[in-house]
Order: sequence, then structure tokens, then C-alpha cells
Amino acid sequence: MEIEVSIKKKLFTATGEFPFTAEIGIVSGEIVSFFGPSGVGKTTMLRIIAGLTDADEGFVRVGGETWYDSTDGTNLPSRKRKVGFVFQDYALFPNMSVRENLRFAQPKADRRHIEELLDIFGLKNLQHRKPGFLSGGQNQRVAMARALARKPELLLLDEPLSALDMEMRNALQDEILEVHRLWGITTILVSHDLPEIFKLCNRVITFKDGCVVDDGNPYDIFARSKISGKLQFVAEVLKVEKEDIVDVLTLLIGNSPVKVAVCNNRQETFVPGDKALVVSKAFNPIIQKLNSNGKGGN
Amino acid sequence: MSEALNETRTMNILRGKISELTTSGNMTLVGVDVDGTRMTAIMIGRPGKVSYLRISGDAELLFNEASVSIGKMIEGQISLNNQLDCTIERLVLGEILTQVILSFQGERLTSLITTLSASRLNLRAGDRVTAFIKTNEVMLKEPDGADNGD
Repeated sequence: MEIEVSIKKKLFTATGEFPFTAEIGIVSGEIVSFFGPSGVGKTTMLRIIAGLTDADEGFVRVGGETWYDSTDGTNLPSRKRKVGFVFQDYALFPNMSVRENLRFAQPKADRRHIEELLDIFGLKNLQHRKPGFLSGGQNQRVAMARALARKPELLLLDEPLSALDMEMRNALQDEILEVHRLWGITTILVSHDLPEIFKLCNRVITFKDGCVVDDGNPYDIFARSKISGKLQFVAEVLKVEKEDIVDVLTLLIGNSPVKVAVCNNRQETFVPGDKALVVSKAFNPIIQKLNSNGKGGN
Repeated sequence: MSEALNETRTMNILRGKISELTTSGNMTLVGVDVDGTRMTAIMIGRPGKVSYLRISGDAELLFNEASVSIGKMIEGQISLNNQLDCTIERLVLGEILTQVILSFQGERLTSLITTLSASRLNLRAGDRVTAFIKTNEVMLKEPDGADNGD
């Protein structure tokens, strides 16, 4: 469903109160990331869309239907808004099994849909367990499945994967993409993780000082470089080692570490934890076909 | 976090104006005039699809230090299009690799070659040399906030 939001709200933070304003249009089926420093209002935006927080003024329209409008007092209760919300702390019911958690989220029982979700998220074998007996990654899968159990028109993900380790995070990202491929649900993801944003989103909306400061595709927003190179990867610097007169950077691309030599007289220095864009020309990589038997193709 | 990705001065960068565009299918050979020296870059993409590919538009040429070869007293013919007349400012000698810091029309460029080659060519600060860069090693970039010749 397409979303149109135009709101104003006073936010209170540790540093005082500031006005938050946003005017955003999201096309049906997009996966959009909200990006920006903590406390800037990203979560508040999601809560306003979900009806968990009221704006001071403005409107929220989803698929042409008005969910909130301060001018005429329209305010659809949150349970009537077809939204799936996933939080970082999955907020599952501890006394219910996985299956019961999913079932409870449905306004009308739909067994087939529950089976489908248990399947997609690999929860079949865990369906009768309670959240306390599951790992963080498994619980987050349950939270995702539960958000989808009510067949939402919007999926709002508030840093859902930030507490997970890299491997689990990658697996869940793949599942989010799979779900999106299947149902094309309009999705908003709050994330601070650049590789995650690049992997999942085709659009980033950046908030700063209470308003939108940037809106575009991740490469344009973060790389700021319209380089013609065709191979571009976002990497995290893991290690910097001096070898002879070059620096050898160990970079994490996806979940593979790779080494890249960098001339050490650049003004730009790299330290572990830095994010970097790795670019190569379309002509330069050496490509070898891998046959299914693992030998190079001839 | 985006600041970390903003480029300060990375690799070798030269600025110029696009002087020639030769297209075949979706591939474009871009001629760029860098203060009177013609450089070429090749890219997959074509004018119309890539906004900054316009005659007299500004473009930046980026190339890795390791892609810059050094020639001294070069005679005969060589296939490389990008030939820059440079002066060696200084050399940073390592055991295996050497950085050759070059001055090209006031711009600083770096070439990373083997120390073996640096000594074979007997490179010294002040030497006049030619820097060679293969066309396929040159990346094009739209300058930040540039007025692209409209």
C-alpha cells in the first residue's frame, strides 16, 4: 500500500524539546529505510503510522484511506490499522507457544497462513515451544512471523536485527527479502547498519534535526560518489596492517573477509570499524566459471 | 556515518571536461580534456542514461596508484591512450614496492611500482617521466556539486 504522511510533533529528548516535521510519500511495495542519529524521531514516525502515538497535527493516509487527520479528528485505532510491527526486543507473549503467538495476532484464524509462515521462517519444529526456550534469532523470527500473521498492508521494522550476530542477521535479512518477494508488502526499516540498508532497501530517508535531510537510493546517499565502476560493495574495515609501503586492509564484504592493498600516502586513513565503498571497473575482475563439480570451466 | 564515506582525497584524481563521447551499444569511450592533455576512460553506460556524460560537462577521472606505469625516455609506439608528462617529486622506497610521487600540471599523482623497476629505471626526484594508465583502469565520476556545463 502506498503511504502518505505529513505530520508535526514536538519531541522530548535528553537535550530538550524540538519540533519534528516530516512529509513523506512511499510507493506501494517499496522497502524504505529510515536512517539518522538516535532520538531523531525515526521510531516516533513508525509509531505515528501504526497509531501507537498521535501526531500533534497532520495526516497519515495508507492506500488512499485516511488513518489519521488532525483537521477532522480521524484517528483509526491501532488494532484496526493493518500494520505489522517488529521491535528490537521482540515483545512476544512468554506464556504462549510460537504457534499461539502467531494465532493470537490474527483477527480471524487462518491456519494455512500460519503454516506458511512457520515454513518460511523455519519454525515448524519449534512451533510448540515458548519464547523463553528459543534463541534471540529464533525469537526474532517468531516476531517477524507474528507481524505477518495478520496479513499487514505495511510492515514496520524498528531495528529488528540489531541485537543479532552477523550470521543470524544475514539469514533474517534473506527471509525479509523472501517475504517481500512473495507478498510485496510496503516496508519501512529503521536501521543503522549500512550493509543491511544496501542489501534490503532501494531507498533511504535520512532524518536530522527533526526533519528529512536526504532521500534517495543508498548509493547516492552514502557513497556521494557517482563513480562509474560497476562492482561496488559496502565493506567494514576489520584490520589495518602495514606491509612494506602499503596498508593492507582486511575488509568484511557480506560475511567474507577480503584483503585489499591501499597506498599509504593517501590523506584518508582507515581504522577498524570504518565503513568503506569498494569499487572496481567492469573490465578488471577476472571471472572464471565454476562448474557444479567445482572445477574451472573450459 | 555518511561523513565517513564522503571522499576526501582518495586515490589519484584528475578533473577535466568531457571532449569526446564514442558509443557502441551500451558502452562508451569517454575523452576528457585535462588541462590540454587528452585522457580516455571506458564505461558501461551511455549518454542519456548517465547524466554527466555530456560534451563539455565536468568529469573526474579516478585511478588506482597500482594502475599507473612509469616510462622514461619512451620512444616507439605504445597502445596506451593515457600518457601524462610528469615530474618525479619524490620516491618512497620499500623493500618490494615503491611509491613514485608525481607532479602532473601541478596535480599530485602517485604510482605504485616494484622497487625492482624503480631501480632498473634509475628513477630520481626531478626526472621527467611519462605516466601510463590503461583506459579500462580509469573510472569516471561526476564531480560533487559541479556545474555540469548547462
